Amino acid sequence: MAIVIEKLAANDKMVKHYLFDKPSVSVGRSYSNDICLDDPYVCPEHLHIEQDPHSGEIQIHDRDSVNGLLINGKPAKQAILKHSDVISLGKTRLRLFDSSQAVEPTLRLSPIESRLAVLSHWRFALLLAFIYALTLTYQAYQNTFVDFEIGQMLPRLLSEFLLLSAWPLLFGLLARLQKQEARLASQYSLIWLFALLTVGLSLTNQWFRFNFPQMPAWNLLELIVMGLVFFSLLWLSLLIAFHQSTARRNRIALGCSLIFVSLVMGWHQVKQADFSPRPVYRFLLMPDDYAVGQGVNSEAFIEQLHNSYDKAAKARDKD
Amino acid sequence: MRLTLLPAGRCRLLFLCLWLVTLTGQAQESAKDLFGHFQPALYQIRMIEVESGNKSSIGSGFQVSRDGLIVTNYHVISDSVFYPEKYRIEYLSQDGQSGLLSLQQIDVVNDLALVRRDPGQPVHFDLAASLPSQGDGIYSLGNPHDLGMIVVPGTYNGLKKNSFNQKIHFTGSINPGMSGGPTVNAMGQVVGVNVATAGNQIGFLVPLEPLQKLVASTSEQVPEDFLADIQQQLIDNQTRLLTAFTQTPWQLASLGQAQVAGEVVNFLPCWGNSNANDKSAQYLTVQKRCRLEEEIFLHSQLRTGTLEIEYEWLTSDKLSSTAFYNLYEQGLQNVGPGNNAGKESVTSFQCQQQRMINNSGMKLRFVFCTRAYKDFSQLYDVLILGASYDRDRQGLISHFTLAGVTRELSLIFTRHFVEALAWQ
Repeated sequence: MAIVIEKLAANDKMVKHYLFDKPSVSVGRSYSNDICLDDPYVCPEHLHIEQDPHSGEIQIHDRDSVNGLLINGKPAKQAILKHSDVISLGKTRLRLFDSSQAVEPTLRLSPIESRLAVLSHWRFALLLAFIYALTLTYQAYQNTFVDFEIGQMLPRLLSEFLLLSAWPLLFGLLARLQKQEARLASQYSLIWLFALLTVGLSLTNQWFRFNFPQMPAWNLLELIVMGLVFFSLLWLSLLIAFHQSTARRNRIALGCSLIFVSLVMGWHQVKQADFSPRPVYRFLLMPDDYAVGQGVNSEAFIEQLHNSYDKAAKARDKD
Repeated sequence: MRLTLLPAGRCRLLFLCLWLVTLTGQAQESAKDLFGHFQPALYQIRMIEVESGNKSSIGSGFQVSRDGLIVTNYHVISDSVFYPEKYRIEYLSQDGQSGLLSLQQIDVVNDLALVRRDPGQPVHFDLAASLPSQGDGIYSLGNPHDLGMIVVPGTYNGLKKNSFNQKIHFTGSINPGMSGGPTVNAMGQVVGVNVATAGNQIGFLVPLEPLQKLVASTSEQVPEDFLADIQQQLIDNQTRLLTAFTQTPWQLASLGQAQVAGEVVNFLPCWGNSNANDKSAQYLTVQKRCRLEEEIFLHSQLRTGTLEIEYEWLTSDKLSSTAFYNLYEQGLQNVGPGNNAGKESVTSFQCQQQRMINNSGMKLRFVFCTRAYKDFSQLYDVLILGASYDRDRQGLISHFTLAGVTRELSLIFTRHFVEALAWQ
């Protein structure tokens, strides 16, 4: 049986931990105390703590201090504490309990965590950044129809990288706020990986849309894939940044992804409902080598056009 | 060249008429006589906005029979056809009298309308039996910018060349507010109705024939539903316009190394362009654009009757195949309709994309879009944009837009269009 005293930060996170294997402990600003607090609002002799040797019950007394004691925000002279009680003296917050108090169960280490080890090397992050820069440059080169100048590419790359940096920096900062490692290398590796993945997926999507423009439910599939990519990115970023249970991480990632997907959907809906005097479409074109089959013949082509008339007539009748 | 319909006079005092300078003594004499004699048969036609009780737009009109039939432009009174509760038509005669007019017949294709003043007054214009000969002096009457009735002498210059619905080419100033006024020969007989201007002394008049037809139609009943009447007129007009396109396969003409539609009809003028003189360009583009130079005004938010056919052939020996296709793809992202139409009049475009192979073996990818007219159940605007994709560094963009057509007619047209594309 011993007294455990935790010094808490404003967000109730533990800052410092003390263990006293004796029945009484004194807290105050003077050097003679068991715990000496560097807080000008605390009296030299502020607080006395006693533990009942039989029941393990912890009792506290205010020693006529200037600023008094608050237990869970309420003033008190003396009290018997429960495990969850937070006491404030001056600007310091403490939690006291018996050392026999059980700790929370151990979190199972995600098997993914060990595989992510490779991400944590700065060399890997830089390699990925280089590959991504090459990809962007190549795409820009293929979209330039005058003489290509590499110098003009630099500001574009720089702004792209700065923009994407927002994500790893945000998670690094959040992790630091939680008194954990920022692990910026891993976060950066992750964002480059996902940027490359997005490029790949969008090329695949273009190929699909070029070949099978009439594919039903493709829009839905596109949205689902978009949601999945966002979910995985967020899930992995959380895994790297915080120590939290898998269930909690799943909940956060799922919730945010659903919000993301519904925002995208809502935006599409709003855009579709707006009247536009010009047609809204995206024309995709690739050379014959990428084509699957040769498309329908004229008769079938004309036959399918009826759909558009029917849709337009339906839109008219709705008004 | 763009034609401007005379906006039913929203007063712009910029063009104070300088016509007096150009008059000869003789013309002055007959102009004075004409004006004096026919003054009672000339009216200002006003659209009165019912709520405010004030005029919202004005035009001119002239009486053609003893029993009070008055001819004006359709575009002067179009508001009252689409919004009969919001607008009524009134006349203001030269002696300051005003009163209600009732709509009798309309001809949207030729921009004519027939209204009735009840009771009429005895002075009226007669229609000429035939058109004058080129160079004859004729006189346009009307009320420009609400300044009062004036006479504009000018010259008859025949019918406008290569036009589908014919117009008289009048050399003389027609100005906003004169719409619907008559143009008469030296004997005071009506040969045309003021309708549009292309600026700089070039004016256009509705010729005699549709005018005679309209006046003769007074024996028919007044249509109960003017919108249904308009729809039928548009269908008839578009059928006539597109007959030549839908009966036989189109003749092909070469554009770069591709073959596209040659001249199918003589009223569809085509213009060409290319960047062959640009030495720094990494690609060559050759274009051909054909556009009907007239459109049908239905109301301020809706014009129709347009027809546009465009082709562009692209090639490059400097760009890689991927870069060429990116360039090619960029040229396809921004197609629009040829006619103006607002939210009140049409739905948004409904589009579909498709790959197909035509009978000449050209592999193409198309986006096809159509929108429906809210007031006319059978009419659609249709546009198509296509691109060949079976050559590595060569492409053919093809495009047409049709406005105010039925589904059947536009599908036949589309069928002919997609077949009239080939490689040489």
